[in-house]
Amino acid sequence: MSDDSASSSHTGQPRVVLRNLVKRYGDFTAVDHLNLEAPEGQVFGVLGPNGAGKTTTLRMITGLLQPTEGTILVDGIDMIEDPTAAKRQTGFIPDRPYVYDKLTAFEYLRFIGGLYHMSADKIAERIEDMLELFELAEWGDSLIESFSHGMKQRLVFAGALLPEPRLMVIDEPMVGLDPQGHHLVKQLFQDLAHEDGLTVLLSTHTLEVAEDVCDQIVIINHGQIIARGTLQELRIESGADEGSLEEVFLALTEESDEERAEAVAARFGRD
Amino acid sequence: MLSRLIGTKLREMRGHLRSEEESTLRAPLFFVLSAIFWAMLYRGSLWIVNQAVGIQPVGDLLVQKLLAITFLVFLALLTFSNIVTVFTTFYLSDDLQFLMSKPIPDDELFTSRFLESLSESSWIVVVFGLPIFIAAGVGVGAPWGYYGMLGTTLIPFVALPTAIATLLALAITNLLEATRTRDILMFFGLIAFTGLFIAIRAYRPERLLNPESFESIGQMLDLLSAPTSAYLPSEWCMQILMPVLFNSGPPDYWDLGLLYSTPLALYFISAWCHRSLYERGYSKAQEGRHGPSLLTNLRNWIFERTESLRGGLDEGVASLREKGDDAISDLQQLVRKDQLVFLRDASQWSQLLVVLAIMLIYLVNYKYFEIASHQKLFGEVGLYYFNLAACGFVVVALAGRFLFPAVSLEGKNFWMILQAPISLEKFLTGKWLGAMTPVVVVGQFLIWTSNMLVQQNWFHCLMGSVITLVISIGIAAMAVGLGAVYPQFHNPNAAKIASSFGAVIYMILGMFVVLFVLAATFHVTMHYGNLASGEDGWNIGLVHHVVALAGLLTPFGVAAVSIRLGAHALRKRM
Repeated sequence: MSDDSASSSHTGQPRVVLRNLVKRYGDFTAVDHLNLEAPEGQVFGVLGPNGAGKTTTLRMITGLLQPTEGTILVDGIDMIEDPTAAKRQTGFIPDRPYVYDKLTAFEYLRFIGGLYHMSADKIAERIEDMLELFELAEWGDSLIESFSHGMKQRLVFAGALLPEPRLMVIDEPMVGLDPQGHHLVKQLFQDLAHEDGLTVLLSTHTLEVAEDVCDQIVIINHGQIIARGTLQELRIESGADEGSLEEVFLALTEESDEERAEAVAARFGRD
Repeated sequence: MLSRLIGTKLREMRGHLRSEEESTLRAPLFFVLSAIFWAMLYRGSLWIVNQAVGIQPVGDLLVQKLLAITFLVFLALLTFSNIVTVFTTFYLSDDLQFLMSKPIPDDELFTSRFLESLSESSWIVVVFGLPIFIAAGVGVGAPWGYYGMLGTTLIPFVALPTAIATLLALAITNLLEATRTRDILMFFGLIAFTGLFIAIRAYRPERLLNPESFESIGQMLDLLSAPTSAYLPSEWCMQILMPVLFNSGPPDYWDLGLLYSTPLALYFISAWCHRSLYERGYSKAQEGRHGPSLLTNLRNWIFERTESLRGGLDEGVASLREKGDDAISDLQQLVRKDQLVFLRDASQWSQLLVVLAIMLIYLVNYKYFEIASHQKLFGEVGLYYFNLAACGFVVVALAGRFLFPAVSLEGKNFWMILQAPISLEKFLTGKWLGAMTPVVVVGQFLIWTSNMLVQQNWFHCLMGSVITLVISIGIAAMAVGLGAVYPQFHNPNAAKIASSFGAVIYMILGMFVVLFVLAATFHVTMHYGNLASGEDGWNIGLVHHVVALAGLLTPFGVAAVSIRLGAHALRKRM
């Protein structure tokens, strides 16, 4: 599947548009001329082997990293030209829940609301909703340092959703969550996308999660998109017609030692 | 194995210097600033030595006494910095988890960590101590042999505190309950600080600057020629160096032997003890990392007791609802967050005690200096400006300790700021505004109290206050901004960040700003100060007023530039 045929099966308008996105660290090219459109109202999975460039791509979309070249549009707003406005549309959940642990859960959420310039009564309403949704209401006045890893992860989810973003970017959502947390989060992704119209962009190594919740999937390797589409489209492309996503993934990312060495050399600019 | 361990550290340092995240100007900038500061320190020390030599018949003894104080101060600084460093390198450093799981022989791990502690805790003292000792040699006209002997003396002098610190840390981690190690560290810090204060006060250095305060020349000679203590390594250094400095005979070889044999013996004893006790100490220190310290328990107690004052979740939500449609200010939230995080971090509380101690020591010493100022050496103008400069330096040091690490301490939480819809300039402004008030308050307290103590006239009091205020505002922004230019997001230790490479650059630049503001406002301040005292004014014109105004506005320019530089540097890292 070519890059340009990206949105053939999409239903909504693109919420995220990446054009010729490049990120270099010195001689090393982490992301190499990546083009992508993620439509509204969909859960969009970004998969790939370790070091493929997934996290770098997601971090550029959220404004945590600046691209070396290319354009990122979030809801039509250029992330480079007007990062503040673009970030106002975006919520981000990193793989590890680092938060200010000397604040209480309530103070943390109020802080997030302040950063997004929300009105006071809206913050109050959203704090109550989020603490309820993520089963943290009893802990609202406790210092975060006393929270378990899973509770912190749920609090980060609450913080990311508090300002009602139009785009949610999630890096490894299941790390540290218990089975109930898994279930809650998977259901939440689908509700957010299909009922509230959010675009959920998630990167994960847990292929079962991607299989369960993603409407579309892109597979990145060596900083470039090597396949995209629905699971069924990927099955056809990989030739694994009845296979699971794991089989599809392995078939699409399989490469010989020579191919791998060549690709790595190219990323270091040693063509 | 030892060469591999040390080689890895050196390669890590080289990699850090070559890192593309860091500015290419980093090393040259550091070199130039250090050279300027070094030269200024040398010139200042040479001036003091020349003044002392000129006071006859006790000039040589005065130089000796001043050098003895310098050695003593360095000994205290080295002891304190070694205790902090040894705990980190031997027990708390992140790479230890990896190293402890590998089959590295005990002695080689010990030696590599020993050398790492020695270099980390000693380089600043050696680099910035050298101009003082060299100035003493030049001022007195010492033979070349003095400089060679200085090098020979300084090596064991800096190694001794490291050896003591390794033994002390081993004893603490083995003997005491793991969760108490941090409390003990705080305790030792305070003891070291108090010890230094008492030792220096025992010298009464201000009397040395004012020979007329002695009732007789005999009394002065008695004080000057009395040794401090034969057990102190600083005194051994004196016994070795003084005969060479004054070309009055050979060095005291007994003390030279002591100076070399003591750290060597302690090193071997420490290595031997580490063979059997280190693993136990390391293991207990890991437990202590996670347990609550005494101060954390106190913090928790206060947190629980103040719940009714603070208000719980329901009260918080209700108070937000009361504000209705008003948008919550992002800047206010940034400031509030920083203040809450700082106040609830119990590990910072002991540092506040140190600030209180500095303020007290400053004022007590200032009163002593006032006595010295009645004499010719200082004069009233000198005292006033000495006080302003000292106050400015306290502000620089305070901001260096508490504001410079502020950006770095965001650590792994920094993603929230980068991802939030706020500019990095606003983030840094929030840090600046949140932390500026305590710096301004301390500066104002010191300048008003010290000027009132010596009954300066109203204009001098007011002008001193204005100068200190603008300096505090500018320096606070500079600390935050340069802290963002040289961040250490992976280092959770504020004290270590405050003594890092970037912090040294900040301190030097901060002192330049203080000196520039003082120089620019000098003529105008003295002119109106004299008029306020009913004396003749100075001969000044429009140009002096313009320069003074420029001097007072400079810190605001410095603040704006620092914040922009900091934000730019953070963006470059993205």
